[in-house]
Amino acid sequence: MGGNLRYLWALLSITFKSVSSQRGAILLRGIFAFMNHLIYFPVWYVMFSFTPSIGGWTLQHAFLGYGISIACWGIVVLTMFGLRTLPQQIDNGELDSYLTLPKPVLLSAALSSSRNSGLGELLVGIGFITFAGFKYHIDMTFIPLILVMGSIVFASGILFFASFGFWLRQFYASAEEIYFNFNLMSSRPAPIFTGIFKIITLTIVPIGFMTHIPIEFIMTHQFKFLAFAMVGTVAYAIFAIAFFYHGLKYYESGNRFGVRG
Amino acid sequence: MMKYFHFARMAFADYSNNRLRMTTRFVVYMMLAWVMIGMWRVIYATGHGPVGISLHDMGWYNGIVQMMFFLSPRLFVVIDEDVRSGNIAYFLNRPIPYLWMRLSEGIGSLCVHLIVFFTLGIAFLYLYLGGWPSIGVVPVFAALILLIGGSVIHLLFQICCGLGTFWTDDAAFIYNGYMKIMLLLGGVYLPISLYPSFMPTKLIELLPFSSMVGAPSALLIGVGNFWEILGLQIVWGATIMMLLHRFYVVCLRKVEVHGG
Repeated sequence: MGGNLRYLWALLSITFKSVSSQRGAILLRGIFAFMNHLIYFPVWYVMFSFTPSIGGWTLQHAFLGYGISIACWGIVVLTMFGLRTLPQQIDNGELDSYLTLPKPVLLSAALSSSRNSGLGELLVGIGFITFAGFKYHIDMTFIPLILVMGSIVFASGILFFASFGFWLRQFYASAEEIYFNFNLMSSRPAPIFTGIFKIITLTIVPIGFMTHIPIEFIMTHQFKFLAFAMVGTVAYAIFAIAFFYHGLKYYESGNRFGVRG
Repeated sequence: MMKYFHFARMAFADYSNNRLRMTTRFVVYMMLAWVMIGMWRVIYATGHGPVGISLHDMGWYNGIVQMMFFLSPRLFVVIDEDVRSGNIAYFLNRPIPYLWMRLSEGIGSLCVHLIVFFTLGIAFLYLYLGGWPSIGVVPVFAALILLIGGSVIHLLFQICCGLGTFWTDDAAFIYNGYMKIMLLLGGVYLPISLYPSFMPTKLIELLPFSSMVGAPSALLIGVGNFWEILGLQIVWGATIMMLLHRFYVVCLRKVEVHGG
């Protein structure tokens, strides 16, 4: 366990070194990320100028929801970009090299690459949350915990869907479509998810644990919501990891036949 | 022209063979349309729905708007990869302009999506919303025709974003910026005619984004004129094509100077 943690820390250190070595690119991407989201947010102003609330979800909820979702996107892209490319790694047989290492395959595959554009998204997300905190006097004590939980949910979601790549060929484009919309839907107002969609947001696409329930906790200060989100996050992460290792067993048994000349 | 046709044909065959990608795309479309229609259902239930537009018609508006985003393939990703991997250098040696080769591939893929979404997508909306929009079935077909034009313009914008990789090394965030502008100025969440007074709606309606998404869909709520939107699409399509060609020449110069 200690060895794995040291390995995790070493991989993260390399990621941050790589990110900090490209300061110019980061600055450019950070500016673009900031402009992107600044352009987008007036959409919600337009929406809420038309209706004061969407089932009790107001502009402050929208700020928090959007802030959390893009900050989580940023964290995952910055630290665990390898998760997103998992279907490609499977198709190209790149997991073979990790299988020979004494360290966990998932850790190596997930943290093997990063995109520094994630830093821009993370900073903009935190900016939105901070702005909402000051403007609407929201207690932000639990925001770091919520961001960590949200990132775990999002990363687990990516892992779960990416793991279908063990059985399905050329799944990369489809998986990207799913991740993007997973994140997009997490910033949508919670009250619009009812019936079967409510169940989906708490099970296979658990955006409820990523934004909706944590925001409920921030607004109401009822710890039952935080506890529910924590239990859901841990359960989903375990489920996603188990699903990945189930797929990995299939991969290890030589599911793909290839010849290298 | 035949060579472009063959590139389009090959892309058509490739996309139609990849049923998994198509299914995922369609399922995600259904979910997003369902969510957006659900949002308007909540707004109408709390008594804030726009006067003169029924929930049923607003559902059709949202369904058609969402469809536009799923019709075009993600062409910017292909170009981004070509530029970053240096493969573009190999394509430039071929006796066919890279720009128009990728566009014809995009149109080939678009044709597959058109078949799927114009049949299954419309069937989904019809069944989910329980009938045609109150204005009738003809505006649905008019909107679909305009969506084709909008999708071609969307492809041109995607190529532009993809070529941006020459300077930024990543097209994704340029594309995301473009998409955000589209969400704001395209009338994606609500019709442009319902925008608040602080938004210059007259100007927004003249921009390409509106003619690609919001204006075609607004035909279903009885707003807009088919021929005016088509004219706007032709003008914007031609303008963007010309600008794109100039931009491509600048990119080629960059490749020649710095290599692939």
